[in-house]
Amino acid sequence: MPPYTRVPFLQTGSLVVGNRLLAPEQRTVQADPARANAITCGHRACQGCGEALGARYALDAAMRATGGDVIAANATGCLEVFSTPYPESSWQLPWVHSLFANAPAVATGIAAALRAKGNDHTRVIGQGGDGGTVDIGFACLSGMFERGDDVLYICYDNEAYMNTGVQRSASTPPAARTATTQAVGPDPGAPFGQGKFVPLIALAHEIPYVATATIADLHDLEAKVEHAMSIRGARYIHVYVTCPLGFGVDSGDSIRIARLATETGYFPVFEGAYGDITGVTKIRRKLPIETYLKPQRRYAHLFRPRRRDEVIARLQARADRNIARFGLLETGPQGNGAGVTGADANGDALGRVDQLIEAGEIL
Amino acid sequence: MLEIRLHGRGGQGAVTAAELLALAAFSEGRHSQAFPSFGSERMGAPVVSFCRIDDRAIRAHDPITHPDALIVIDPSLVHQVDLFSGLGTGGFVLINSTRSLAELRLGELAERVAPERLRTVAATEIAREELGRPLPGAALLGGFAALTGAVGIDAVAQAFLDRFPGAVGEGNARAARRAFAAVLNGSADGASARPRPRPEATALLHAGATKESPAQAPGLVQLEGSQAVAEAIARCRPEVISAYPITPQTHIVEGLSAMVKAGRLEHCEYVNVESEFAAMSAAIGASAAGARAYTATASQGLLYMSEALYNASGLGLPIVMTVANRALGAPINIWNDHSDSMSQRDSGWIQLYVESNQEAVDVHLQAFKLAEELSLPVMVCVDGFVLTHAFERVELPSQDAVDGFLPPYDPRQVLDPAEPVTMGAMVGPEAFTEVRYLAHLKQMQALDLIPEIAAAFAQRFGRASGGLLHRYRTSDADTVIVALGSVLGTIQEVVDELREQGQRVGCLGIKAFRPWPAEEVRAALAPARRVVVLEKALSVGIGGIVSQNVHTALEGSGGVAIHTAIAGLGGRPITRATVRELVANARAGRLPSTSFIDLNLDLVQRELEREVARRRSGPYAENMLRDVGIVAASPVT
Ligand SMILES: Cc1ncc(C[n+]2csc(CCOP(=O)(O)OP(=O)(O)O)c2C)c(N)n1
Ligand code: SF4
Ligand SMILES: [Mg+2]
Repeated sequence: MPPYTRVPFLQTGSLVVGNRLLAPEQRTVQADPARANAITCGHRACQGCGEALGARYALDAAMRATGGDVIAANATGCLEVFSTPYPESSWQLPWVHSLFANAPAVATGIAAALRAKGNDHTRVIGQGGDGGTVDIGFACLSGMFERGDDVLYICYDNEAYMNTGVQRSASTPPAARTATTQAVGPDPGAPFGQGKFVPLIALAHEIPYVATATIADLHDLEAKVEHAMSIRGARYIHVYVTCPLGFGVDSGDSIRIARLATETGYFPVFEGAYGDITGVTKIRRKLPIETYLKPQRRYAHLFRPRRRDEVIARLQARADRNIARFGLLETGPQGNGAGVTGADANGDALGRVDQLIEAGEIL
Repeated sequence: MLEIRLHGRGGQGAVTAAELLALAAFSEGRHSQAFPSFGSERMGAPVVSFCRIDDRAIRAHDPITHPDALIVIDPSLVHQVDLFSGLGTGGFVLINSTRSLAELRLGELAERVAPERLRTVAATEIAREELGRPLPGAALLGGFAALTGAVGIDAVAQAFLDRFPGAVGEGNARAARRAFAAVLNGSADGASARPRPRPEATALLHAGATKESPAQAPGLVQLEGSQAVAEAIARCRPEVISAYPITPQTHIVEGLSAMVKAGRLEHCEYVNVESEFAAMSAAIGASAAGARAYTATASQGLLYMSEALYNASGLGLPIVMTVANRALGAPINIWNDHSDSMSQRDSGWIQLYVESNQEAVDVHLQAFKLAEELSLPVMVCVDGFVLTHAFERVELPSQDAVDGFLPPYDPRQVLDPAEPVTMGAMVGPEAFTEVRYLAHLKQMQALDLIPEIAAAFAQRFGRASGGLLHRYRTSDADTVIVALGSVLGTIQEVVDELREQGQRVGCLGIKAFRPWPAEEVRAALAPARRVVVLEKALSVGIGGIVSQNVHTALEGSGGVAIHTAIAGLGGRPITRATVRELVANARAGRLPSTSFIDLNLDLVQRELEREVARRRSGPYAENMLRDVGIVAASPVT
């Protein structure tokens, strides 16, 4: 499991600790002046783009873990478009964009070629947005998992098709307004009872590593990527990334929104291996879902012109269910110890996937 | 025709300003057109939008390279992009700035323009005060009304009130009026008072042409092409819409999804599928179950449905699909050409191409009728961005009129437990040829049916739209340009110009590309000595696609030279100047049998040399872009 232990730093109220307060070996990859800058500056992402931030941390961590020996295959989407307004390219590693639906399979092909050539050191990353991963690319992704191809696939989940102007994907949450689930009619926004949570489906492939992360805890994301690079086979990391444009939030609030996503139980942060959940990141102080919804214009119709308490309650119930299902609430003595706990350290809160699935429909 | 170019940055409302200018002109009974230039740029990047105003129908759809007026929304662009490019000495310039012209240090740029036609207005400050937000669009349009007189200030104010009901509209209207007054009396740059709007701009409009007031014609609206298509589809009462987003189709399906969700479109299911393959497959299922099914896509999305396309036509399911034409990658390109639909020309779908947004509306109504009468799927090809994102005048038919024209769908075959049938069985060598022959025969029947339906449409709606061909001044033309889609308007403009100079030039628009109307094309081109096929697609390894078909149509008719001109690939604009030069070259006998218009051979040469010099020469598309030194996503140049 990752060597990283979250250090609570309660004065900030956010559990975030600045690098300068950590021992050098505990500092983030980004704190290292010799970092790879895998996605260098000058790209065309919007201000505050969570995907740009997440990808930068993830890839720099992968570069450090492999000594810069990585090839990336990218699906179509914002990340691809904003990073390659040629002749400017942000990529400081070999990188290929083929199509929207095939990034996992392209990555498989790269891994196969390396194997054929007897190259056992160069590693492969596939990556894409939620649309490219959970919708159109899902068949290729599942195939890559099932065969156990030696690829780390990273999904940057901003919960909609942002590149084409914010349309609904299977990762769009209920009630969220998108261009194809408008805030009109009797049930404005995306419907309840639809959508899928791919991390659990990935886990069901019994691959050696599955993790979720958010841009609110970049240190954790780095640690998970580094850990993923220490193992072979098909691995999956699903990163919640804020999109200021699509969510309707200020650029400066990207990280705050992601933090609220975890602190409300809206987005569970966990790790798993071979079908089992092996660790979760605890919520220290549970916040009501409203604190997460209110700052986002995609949920504005829940508050104006009238409050839709019944919808807010359903969303609260969803978050509560996550909390119960993944055991997200801190059970130990308040304010002590690490946020990330292993299964053995905290067995009561953790369940097997089949139990989760038995407990009801997938999120 | 008055042509206006607006320069701003993403997020400043350049596109909205162009649209509202067009809307103001529309409300005064004029024809107008607004359209953005497109890029994959995010907020803050330089963007351009365009507006045309005339008293005659506007046919041209090329980007404005020689504007009569400029509106500069962001003064920081003055020294960054070639703002004044193409502006004539008679041009008007309005710059959003609190500074005086001298302070802006325009230098020699300013010398190109007559001083009284170059003004600044403090639009952002006015907007801050009147609206509470730094959105300068309304103030700039107010200033523009004062500077040029091409639109009335009341129309400008009303356009904002209509678009933004409530306080926002009122604030914008006040800002527009304040800026109007400021520019009229010269307070923005301290120059002497100007008592009256400039008449020079209005002179560009075809004064005397009859204006048509929107108030007089019900259904006459100024709409974005995509919205117009969505409105047309809604009136066809589809029962199942399954779609997957892809630029530049998105606005069509977003519009339809909103209508379904708001309950405006009754008895219709909208399915947000997970891929284009699923979109077409769901349409197949819906159609087989007896529902009127619709989808829309473009480019990569069309290719991703390809297997299902052949299946839909093979099964004989009358699905209607809009293709918002866009180039195919790699290299990825979101701009318009015809590579996508042309690549599916053998898929068994009927393919109709439209030249304007009015025709897009009309042909979709015809498409359902055609599809259902033949039990074959129909693809309506609408140029991406050029039409889908152009904000133009269209007449929307009433629901009653459409209901009278298009009866409810009565399927030839349907999955029905009361009368079970098997669809999609395997057919071996014993009958496969006959089944395929029948598919061909059925599609060829459309050659009779398309003109019949177009005639019935014209009779009911009083407008000619669709059909097999559009012959424009071809009857005595020695030189004819053959083309498809939105470029036809631009070509017709040039044909008129050249006709005035006594050149016998014509234009043949192909409206139905599949089935191929060989007989009709042969007849239409009979008088021609030179035929230039202007192609927005390339069949790598041979060249033209449409021209191969034209060759077949003209087989055996000697004495005619057929040229293929590949142009407009991946959104390279085909301007009136391009067409003029093409015709001149053709008439002078300077055109080879296949040519690439506006090709930068130098760029190609450099890459070829690199490949000779070095084995690992690298990815060639990227190499060439580096040579060009431009940013791939820069606005139209
Ligand atoms: C086959 C195909 N269909 C549709 C598209 C259009 N398309 C490009 S990117 C994109 C959305 C990307 O969404 P996501 O994967 O969530 O990434 P994001 O932009 O949100 O980061 C779509 C629909 C395409 N390129 N190819
Ligand atoms: S639209 Fe969203 S995901 Fe795309 S670049 Fe902007 S912030 Fe990032
Ligand atoms: Mg996304």
